[in-house]
Amino acid sequence: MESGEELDQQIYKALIEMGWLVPQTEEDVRLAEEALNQLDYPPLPPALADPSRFIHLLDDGTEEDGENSPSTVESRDDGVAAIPAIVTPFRPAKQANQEEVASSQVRPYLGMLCEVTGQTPSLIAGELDVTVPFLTLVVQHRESVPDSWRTELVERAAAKWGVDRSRARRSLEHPDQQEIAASRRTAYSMKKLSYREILKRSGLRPEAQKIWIALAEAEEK
Amino acid sequence: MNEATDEQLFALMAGRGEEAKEAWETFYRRYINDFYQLVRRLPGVTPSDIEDLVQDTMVKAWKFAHTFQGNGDGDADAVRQRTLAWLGRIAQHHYWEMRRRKITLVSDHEPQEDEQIGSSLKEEPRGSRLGKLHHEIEKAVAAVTGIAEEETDTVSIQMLTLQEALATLTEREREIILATYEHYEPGQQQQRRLPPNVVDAICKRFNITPENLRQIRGRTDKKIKQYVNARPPANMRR
Repeated sequence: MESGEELDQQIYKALIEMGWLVPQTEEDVRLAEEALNQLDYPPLPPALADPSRFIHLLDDGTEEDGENSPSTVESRDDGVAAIPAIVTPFRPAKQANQEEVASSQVRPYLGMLCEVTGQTPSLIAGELDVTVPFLTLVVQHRESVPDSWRTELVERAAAKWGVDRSRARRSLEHPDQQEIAASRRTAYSMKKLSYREILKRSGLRPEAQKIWIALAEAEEK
Repeated sequence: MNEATDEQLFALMAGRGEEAKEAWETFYRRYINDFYQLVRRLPGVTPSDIEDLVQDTMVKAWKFAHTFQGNGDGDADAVRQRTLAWLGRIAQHHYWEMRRRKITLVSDHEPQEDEQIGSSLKEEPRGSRLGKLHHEIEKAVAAVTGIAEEETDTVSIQMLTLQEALATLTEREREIILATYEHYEPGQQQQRRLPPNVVDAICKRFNITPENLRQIRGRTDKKIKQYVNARPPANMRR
């Protein structure tokens, strides 16, 4: 076995082939995919299949993320170097009416928590012991969501970060950005889910799902 | 929209115009499965974390769309690999943040020989922390062996043995190897000496001194070499 630089290169290659490092160059991707071709491909998890479930997060992600900014993201490959660009701010396709303006002043729960804590959606979900899809779905399908769930989420945010309870509650009851978009374009409309369907799609562990079901059932009684 | 090139989709996203979100949805559908397959085996995180990682990366692709630069008229595979690598660089930071939160080291006391590690772990209850670690190692070895079973011509025997060796590392050794190679740039020379800020970050992450780090890394290198030199690879053992 060789040593030093050669060993490093071999270990790096092995880690890429094993899927233990995130591929970051075209060569990494090629190596990783060659290795993957020899394994079974599990299907894409249902929670990731539908982009319309996450589209409202595009409007939430406007804060700067220093460490993960394009300059650091691009530092590995000059060929994909960051290029300065004039970015036109997003404008609604039509003039928003008064109701939309009023409602859009309240950010959806996850967006509001990102704003308050400065953390990423997944970190926030982890702190609240839930998943990002769950937090997204409870706002998107709020008509099906038991009030006890909202109360629980309000309390968790208050306990974790001291978030004002009425602000948290408004953010859970607020028509989110996706619905505002849906009023302009039909592409984002979606079928309403029951609270059990929300749990099925949430990616929560079965034990965690039981807690939310118990809350819902307690409310029904 | 489905006919648009990646560059065209990124341009539409960066413009934030009327078709921007439709472009993002097209981009998402085009890459979600391939990108998920690339990151689904990352160690130290749960399947749910991987889903978060993938989702977060696709959302950040929207945010950073203006930084993407394609390669003109490259062939379809090259364009695809370039885009996936770009997503990988976005994902890297988030992945390490997730790992940093989860890292709880097994113990400062570690057996020196991997046979000792194997036997001590095997005795642990399956549900215990060390039992789970042993199970994880078994799975990794099985995955590597699976590659050998299916196709040995395209993967060197030494590479298979090296992968087996990596799969036997303890949690701390594995974490330090991964943290080290996070900063590795293939093809660049003289990378054994990590930049001081990287050493600081790794030491802080694992609550060790730079000297500890040097020793652990040296010990891990030695362990890998010993494994490779002492064992024929899985496909030759059968």
